[in-house]
Amino acid sequence: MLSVLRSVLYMPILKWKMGERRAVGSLPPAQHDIVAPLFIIPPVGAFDHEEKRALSPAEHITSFGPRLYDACGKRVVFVDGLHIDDDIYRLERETHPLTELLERAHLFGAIACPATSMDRSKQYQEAVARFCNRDTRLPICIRVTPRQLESPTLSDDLQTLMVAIDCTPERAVLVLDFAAMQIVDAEGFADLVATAINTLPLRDRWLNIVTALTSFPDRPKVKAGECMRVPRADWEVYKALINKHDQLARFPAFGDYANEYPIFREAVRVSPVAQFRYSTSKEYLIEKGRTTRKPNGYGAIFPVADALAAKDDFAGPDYCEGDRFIYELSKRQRGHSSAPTWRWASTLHHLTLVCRSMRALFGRSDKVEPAEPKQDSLFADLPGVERGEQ
Amino acid sequence: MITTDRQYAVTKQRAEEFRTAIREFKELDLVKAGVDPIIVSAQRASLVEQFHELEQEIEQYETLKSGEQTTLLADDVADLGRKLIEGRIAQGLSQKTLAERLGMKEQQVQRYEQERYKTASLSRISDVARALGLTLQAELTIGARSDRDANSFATSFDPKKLPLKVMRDRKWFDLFDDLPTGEDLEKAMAFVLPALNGPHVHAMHRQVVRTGSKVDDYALLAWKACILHKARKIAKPLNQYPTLDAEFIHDLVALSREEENGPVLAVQRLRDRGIPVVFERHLQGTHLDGAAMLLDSNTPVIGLTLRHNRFDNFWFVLLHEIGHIVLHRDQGLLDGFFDDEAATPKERVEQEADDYSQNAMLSMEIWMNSFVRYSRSREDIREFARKHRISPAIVAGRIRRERKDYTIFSDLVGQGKLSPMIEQAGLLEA
Repeated sequence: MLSVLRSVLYMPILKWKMGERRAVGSLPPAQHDIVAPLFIIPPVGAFDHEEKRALSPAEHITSFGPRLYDACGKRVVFVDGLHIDDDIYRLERETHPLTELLERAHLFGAIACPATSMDRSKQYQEAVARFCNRDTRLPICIRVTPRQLESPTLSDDLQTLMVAIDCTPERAVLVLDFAAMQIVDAEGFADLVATAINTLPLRDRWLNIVTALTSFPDRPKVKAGECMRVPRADWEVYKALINKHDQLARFPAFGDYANEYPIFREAVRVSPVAQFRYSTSKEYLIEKGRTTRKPNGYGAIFPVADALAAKDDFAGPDYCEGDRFIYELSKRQRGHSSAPTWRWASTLHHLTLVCRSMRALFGRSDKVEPAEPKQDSLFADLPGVERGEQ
Repeated sequence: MITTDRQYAVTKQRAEEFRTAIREFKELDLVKAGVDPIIVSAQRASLVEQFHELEQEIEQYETLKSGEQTTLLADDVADLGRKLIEGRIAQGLSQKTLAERLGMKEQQVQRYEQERYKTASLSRISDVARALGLTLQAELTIGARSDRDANSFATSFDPKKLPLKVMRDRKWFDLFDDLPTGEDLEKAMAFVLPALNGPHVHAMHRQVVRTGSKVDDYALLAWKACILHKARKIAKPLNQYPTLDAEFIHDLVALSREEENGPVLAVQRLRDRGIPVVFERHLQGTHLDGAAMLLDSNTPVIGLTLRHNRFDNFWFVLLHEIGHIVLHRDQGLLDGFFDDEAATPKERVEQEADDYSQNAMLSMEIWMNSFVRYSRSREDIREFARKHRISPAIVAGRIRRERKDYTIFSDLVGQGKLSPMIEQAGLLEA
């Protein structure tokens, strides 16, 4: 299991919402080997689109297992419970909510591994330690912020953390999590990241290293009927970083926040605006439509799909299921669906784009070779037995 | 200028002290201790510059005393006073002896010499020359102008272009009680005289004005004069040009963390060091944030306008002007540096003062190696500022400048808070 994580090239950091997790589930198997998603569990009071109401902490935890398995099956995913590491959640349960989440996932056959950081509560770290002791084959994830990276005590802090969670670097994916940065100069930023990687404590021992960043804007101001374009500076930084291959002691995997801004905002019960967030190799496009309030209704998504599908940036219906959905909307071949589905389509397109870009960057094919039947390997050296025959 | 044997002895002693300070200056130790290399270099350069100046003054005095110089040339009437002093020294006469010959008190001669005979009448100057046994000759050339006067604002000066209404509205004529009574125009002329024809100011065109816009020279002159008047009211007499070493600058910048009154404390600290820092709102057509100039040879002055009313701007401009004081005493400080912070520096001296200011607040090396430059997080900015003992306003201000986006982090730069603070401290009046 740990070896699988070594070959991961992409870690999308996603909010635990319906559209996003279904997008992960919709990624074709050919992409699974290079993707290890990290889901952030929402804070108390977050609106659940499936139930169409705000769930209580207990309900969020209870629904986690089946939903994760439905989306991701037996693929390794990471789960960060930073927003549920507080008294509101802890007081409702006897065990830490993180433990409950992970056990729920295990119960339903999913493989959820915890993500932590150096600033979590003692109880949270104990929950991670319990996971580490339960199954030594499974990885964990450690997120490091820029402030922590620049701290003179980083090495000691990491060592202290590893002791607290009873883990070793060989089992941990280290995420240098820059979150939302204003990148005015990709080369300059890449230089800083390269230096950070090269001087990381225990650099060569980590299971994998990820540099996560987004240039997706916070609260983009776009009028209905307009399209905002924002440069994908996060991708430019990563390419600039990889270009410094002769200076890099270790190649990091790429992490981003898909087409979302990292911060959780308080969910308010308003009718969503029809929009698609669409990624290209160079830009995030925010194609904005009207509100779905009456008289527009959810049909407000049709003109948005029309506008997007008409653009040269549109990858076409065969790119992925998400693009097919957008195309069919533009052709009126399907119903308008709902906001989570629109988000599913946008997110799936983005994940597919990044997977293909990473494979191209590193020359990794996405062909899935059929697994060699185990029985045949036992008979391979015996005369008169052809492969595939019992 | 050394004018007495006593001053000569003191100056020699000071020169020796500077020589020792330069010899024992350990750049590497200061850099290792965390002082920015640019500040270290500026400090050393300042020590060297002051040492050379003292050496020049000593050499000039010794030459005069030797009696070798028998002719003293003045290019301008304004230089006459200085030449009378040189003549006295060359004759081997003390101020006391001259006073006796003139039938006046020694203190009167001292006063005349201190102000370079600026207030002495022509007949008094003639008396002094006679008492010294000097022959005065004047050569006046019709038509041709000297290089210095070729583009001189002073030679084409039209007092009617002074901003009389503003000067009246701001009650400048009431603030300063050494002005003549009479019409406003006459008062205005007397008001701007120190800035225009003082011994340390020759021509407006030699002032360095950093601005992206067209400047109203008369408004600039009036503002400068106001700054000098205000500075003179609070200036302490100094025997030597103030030294601003790295430690002083470091402690000054640390005051930026005092949210309640950091700027006020900084102004007081500089005033205590002998550098008057005074405030006067800019005049229309001047586009000024601040200025540095000399009140006399030993007293630099900083004038600030509070035009942008923000903490980050205050600290940048203050340290920029300090940069001029430290680095450019002989490269224009006599005439003054007038700065619009937003304008691109066109002259080397402006870039040097910018670099000084930036590095005094936070070393460029630390800045360029930090992720905070790219951050969108207020918490990151506050933490970074705390770690480096500077105000979050300075960090936020620097980020805004680099990103050319002055809409971000407005809450951190203290927009609108500076003027009330300065006003409450009574610093706007004097």
